[in-house]
Amino acid sequence: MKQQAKWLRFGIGAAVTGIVLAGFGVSKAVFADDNVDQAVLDNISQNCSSIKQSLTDLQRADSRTRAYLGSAYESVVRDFITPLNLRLVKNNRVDTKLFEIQGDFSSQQADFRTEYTAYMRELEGLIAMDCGGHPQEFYRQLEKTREHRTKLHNLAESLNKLVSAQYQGVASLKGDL
Amino acid sequence: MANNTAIEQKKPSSLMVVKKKPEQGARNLTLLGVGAILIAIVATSLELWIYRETGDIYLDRSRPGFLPDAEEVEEDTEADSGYIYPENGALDASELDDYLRELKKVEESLNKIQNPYGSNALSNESLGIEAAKEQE
Repeated sequence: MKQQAKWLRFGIGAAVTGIVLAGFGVSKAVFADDNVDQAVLDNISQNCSSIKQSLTDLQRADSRTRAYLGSAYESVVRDFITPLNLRLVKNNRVDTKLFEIQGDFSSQQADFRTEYTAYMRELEGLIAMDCGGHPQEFYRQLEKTREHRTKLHNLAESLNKLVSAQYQGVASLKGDL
Repeated sequence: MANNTAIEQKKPSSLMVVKKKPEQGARNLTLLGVGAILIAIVATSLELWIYRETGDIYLDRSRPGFLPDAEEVEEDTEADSGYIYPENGALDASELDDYLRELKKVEESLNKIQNPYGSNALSNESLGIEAAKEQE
């Protein structure tokens, strides 16, 4: 029993030491990656209010863009892609390319919605931060927001290309009739 | 005699019950009110948490500051041609012509937004964090 208690205490001590060391290691890694120019950090602190205003305006513009793109994509799926493919099925005509476009479009549309939510969450977090007092954290959050914005941009471009592919596919189908 | 005794014995306890009722009723009413308010607070907090966590708050344009402008509503109305390709019937080349014409309009409306969510808007130069580098 005494031996077991001794091993138990040793185990707990080792675990706590490990956690503390891991925490130092992680924090060191985080700070080691922050090679941000001091001039940039100073600019962030000095221009904090104007930066926040720009971000707020951008948030509003992005929301408007999302509404516009979202309704266009919804219209493409509801009024063009789905009814055409249904009609093809009813006429016993299989067009693999058009069916693939439907699958890709629907899944990327869902990804677009998810990514937009993630991006807006980060942007809102960025606007709420105190850039005057904590420019380094602000810049870190800005980098994270940029990554999400890039993903969103890629998804929007991909969806636009699928609309063009749909056009080409239907033009080809019309030629075969 | 025995019955009268029983009735007399009953009276004091019924009197005591009548005395207690107003106090107990007031307490129950207060508890009901407090309970209803607490339930409302919990339910509203939960609802708002779900609204934020699921991301619906970011898709909702009815919140203050994100309402569409008047010209934006007009644009949306003009852009919506109302065309729906009929899903029944034989495949017809002339109908596909209409389809392609309407799809082209949608494609052009999408292309009006150049470089959607481009990286420039969040660049250091755009935000005023860093001066634009002069080209050599």
